[in-house]
Amino acid sequence: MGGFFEGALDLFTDRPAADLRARTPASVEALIEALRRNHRARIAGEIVVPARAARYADFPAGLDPRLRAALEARGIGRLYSHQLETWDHARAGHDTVVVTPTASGKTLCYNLPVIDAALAGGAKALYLFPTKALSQDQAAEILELNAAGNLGIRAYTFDGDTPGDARRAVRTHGDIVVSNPDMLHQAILPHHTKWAQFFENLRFVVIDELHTYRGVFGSHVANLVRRLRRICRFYGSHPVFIACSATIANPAELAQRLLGGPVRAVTESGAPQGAKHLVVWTPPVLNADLGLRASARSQSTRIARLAVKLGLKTIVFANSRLEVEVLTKYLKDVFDRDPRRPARVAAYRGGYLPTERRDKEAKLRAGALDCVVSTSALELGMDIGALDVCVLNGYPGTVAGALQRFGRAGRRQRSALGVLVCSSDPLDQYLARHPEFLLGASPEHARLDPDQLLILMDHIRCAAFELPFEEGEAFGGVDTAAALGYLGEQGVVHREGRRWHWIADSYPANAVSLRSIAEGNFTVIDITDGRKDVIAEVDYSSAAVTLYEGAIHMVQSAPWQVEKLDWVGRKAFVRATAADYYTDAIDYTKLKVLDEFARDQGASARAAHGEVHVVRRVAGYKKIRYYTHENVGYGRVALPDQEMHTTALWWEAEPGALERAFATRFDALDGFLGAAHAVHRIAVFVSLAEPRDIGRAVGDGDPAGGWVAAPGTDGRAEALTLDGEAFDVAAAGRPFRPTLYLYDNYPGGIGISAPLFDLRREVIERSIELVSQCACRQGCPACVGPVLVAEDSKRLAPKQAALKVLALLRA
Amino acid sequence: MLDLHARLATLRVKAQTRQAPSPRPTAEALAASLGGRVVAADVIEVSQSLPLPVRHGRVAIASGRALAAAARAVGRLPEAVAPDSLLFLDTETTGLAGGTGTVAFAVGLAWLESRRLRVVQWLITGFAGERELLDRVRARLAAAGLLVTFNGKSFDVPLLKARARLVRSELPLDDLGHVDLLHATRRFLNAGWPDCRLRTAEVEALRLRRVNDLPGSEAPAAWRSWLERGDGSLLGRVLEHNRADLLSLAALLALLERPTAREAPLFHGLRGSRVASALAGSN
Repeated sequence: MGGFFEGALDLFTDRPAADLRARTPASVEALIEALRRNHRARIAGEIVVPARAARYADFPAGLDPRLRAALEARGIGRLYSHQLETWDHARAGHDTVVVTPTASGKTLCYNLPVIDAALAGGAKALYLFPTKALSQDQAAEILELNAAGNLGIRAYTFDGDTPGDARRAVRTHGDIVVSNPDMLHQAILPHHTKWAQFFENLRFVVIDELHTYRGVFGSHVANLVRRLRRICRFYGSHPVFIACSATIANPAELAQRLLGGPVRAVTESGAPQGAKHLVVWTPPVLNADLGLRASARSQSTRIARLAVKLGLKTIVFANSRLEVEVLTKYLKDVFDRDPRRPARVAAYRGGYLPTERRDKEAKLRAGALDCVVSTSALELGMDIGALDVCVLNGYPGTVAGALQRFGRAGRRQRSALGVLVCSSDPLDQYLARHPEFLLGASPEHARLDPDQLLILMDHIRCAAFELPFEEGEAFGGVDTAAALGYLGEQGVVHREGRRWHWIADSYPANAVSLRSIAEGNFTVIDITDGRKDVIAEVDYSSAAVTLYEGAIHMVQSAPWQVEKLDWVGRKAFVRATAADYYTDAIDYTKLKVLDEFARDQGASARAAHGEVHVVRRVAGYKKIRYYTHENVGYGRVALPDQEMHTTALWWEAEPGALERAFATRFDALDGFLGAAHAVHRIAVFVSLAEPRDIGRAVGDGDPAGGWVAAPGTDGRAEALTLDGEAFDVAAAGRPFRPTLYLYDNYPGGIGISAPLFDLRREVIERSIELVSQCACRQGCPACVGPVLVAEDSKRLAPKQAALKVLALLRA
Repeated sequence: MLDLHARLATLRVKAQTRQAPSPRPTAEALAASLGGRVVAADVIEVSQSLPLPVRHGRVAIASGRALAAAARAVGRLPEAVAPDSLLFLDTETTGLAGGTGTVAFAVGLAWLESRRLRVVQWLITGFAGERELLDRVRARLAAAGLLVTFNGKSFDVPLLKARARLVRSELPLDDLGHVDLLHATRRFLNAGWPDCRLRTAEVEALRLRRVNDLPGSEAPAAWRSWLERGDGSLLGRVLEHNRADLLSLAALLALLERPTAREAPLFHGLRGSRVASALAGSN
């Protein structure tokens, strides 16, 4: 080790790095040693995933000799065990899901049976990727194999960029068609007669990146698979589905729900893998009173700099394009000072031109770049060669996402390192206190709800357009006859004899977006300087609280002000702004229980889950100055109420216990609001959801009552009617039943509340931990929400109030 | 749990109240009102035999040979075309979007037989008649040598092929020659016209203004009314519209027979200032 550390002093100063490329790169262990020695306090947790030896298998006996020759020409002389396992399942006609890490040769898992069948006799395959870039990569790979063995396989991409005259060739001559779910939904299935030859001979359907099909998007895609299977049945084919998934807790279950039938899971990778070190890193505290920490950016830069100086190939993932640019600048300032030399550091994000991106990918593969800083654009599949170190600048939001990114670092024979640098975001800090969530515990369960009623109805419409429904035909878990009867009443289908035919003059696939439910997303259009650029999309449920006229809306950390909102047209027109304040909507949400599915009566609390009616009104907004958090004004909002039925879970405290715990009812309301804030954070965390997927509210549990709780101007809770009038909960004789609600933020629900209800105890326990272990004194946005506290206040602090309520709800 | 209907209603999915279906008049009654007859279960045929010349606007469809010559020239075909091999085709559908959910509920065909123009239309009174309809269309296609349509290449032909596949049949459309007058109109006639629609070509080139025409966009609703409520009152006008479309096809082709028409924009229908620029541009 001695010779190596001669230069160690250089590594911790900012003196220009000597060119270390001439020396052998240090091992990852050396990097970890250096980090540990100098910043032990910042390491919140670490784990080592042991190295794995390769497990090989010979080519199967039945493999077409031409394919074998092509593989050998590409340097592949044998298979990994999981590739053979997939071959066996696929050939036996079983739907299969392959769950192995990146760089384990999963592409060959499906290319092998597909190309073999195509060579044997005209069998066709459909490949579905979530993005166009991945589709194009895959098509390129097949073509290379093709060329290596002169196989004559025709693989074509079919997406929005495919020109009209080329489409005919793809339909009639393609052996392998590479496309994406949106294309299948809008362009292929509704025109399936043009693809008759293709469907008649369809033997395999490959779905890659299966884990991305969850939530609303996944529920849509599950229905797309139902429609696809239906069309195949019409043409007499029964393709085998091969899916590939990143490591999530329940890949087989997800695959089963997505594909609608039993699935074999291949989970043991035979590819060799060096040991992987995973570290959770938290920045040091700079100001204990305010709970301020050094920025994640400073830490990521430090670690990346050290890694590159040690000759380790590094990737840094950032959560926004702005962050990518800033981190790249810092790193280029260190490594790319001399413009005459080739760049060692590069940025990568979706906004760059495809040629630029291809160029950087190639450089990475060739080892010409030492460090790349990227958004999630590089999270998925594309081959960028092997990297030694992966730094996550902030938690990407889900454990699966973090593991997927870590997967970018990994060598066959050498160790690799993944570091999650926690930001000051509450969830990141929660992870810093509970690194086992990331490092040890199994990843989240991916959920989807293929029978979500509105989504299902949309796809029944699309399916009816594609082929008439026969009496008795099933589609998903709904009573198809009732659904078709409903559509018949709408004049969309017509029943004749034993069939339901489409008779409307519309094209239903156009009206269905695979990424939203029924109401339709809003587009955010930049009109600065006469432009008309779409810069973002916001889902319906978030629109009212973020796109009202006057709102300051952040896109990629840059502020825009909403000038005009076209509610019916689903468009928001924004202008770049330099305002020194941000806006916070004042909204009231009122829930009414319609039906209770399950309940749990405890000693001091009662929890239940069921169907609710939600009314949400955005009454106005506050203007809050940056940094000082002063309230510098108000604005009015005139938007329609949002009403919907959905599923929810809720908690109520036993009135007697509540009276005993709190001096005043308003203190109790403070506690409920704070508890709701913490419980919402934990619920999002525990159920693999986005914050906007779950709504929260505190309101009157008495159906005859009608108040909602909201933070008032002094930061303390108030009880109000939906119109914003004060409601005196303290009036004697009136029962006091504050209730904490968590609801699926989509009409009809999306399958979040029911499993959360099953996890209710864990949710409360973790909320108690979140609040009690938070470094603040009175409360803060990381635990119970923003708190404005008068200096000598004798009232119960919001943090303590929240803990009291949570303790009651725990019982 | 609320039943499906109630749940859908509460999820803010608007339901329209539909009237209960009334008993439908028989196909025979409908056929009679249309001047046609029932030729198969759920298929009504309306046919006419018009002696040449047939006047349509300011054009007389007089000579089969002239039509054939025009078709050959417009389609740039290497060999001469027999007049009786021409087949004019136009469909009425349940929508314009294409895709497998669009149905051709009426198909109109016209062809020359001796010195007469035969116009035959088939209308289905229910989905069950589709296979018969397509069989009859196939028989006519088999006897034809050259198809003449307006926008048929993008719309009518792909639609008929799709419908055939859905009932597991095939139509011999791939081997049949096809002259699409939309393209010809665009090339030769459309100088200064607001658009390339058949209606515009009629007005500008044929100087024909239809009286009391049911617009093509209302045809889907007319057929739906029959299906859902047994109200076939508008179907007569749908078929009239279809017949007029077929005659316009033939008339446009007759017009295009003149070599001058095919070489320069036809300026009789042009607006003033555009004539000059069009002529200037073509020289």
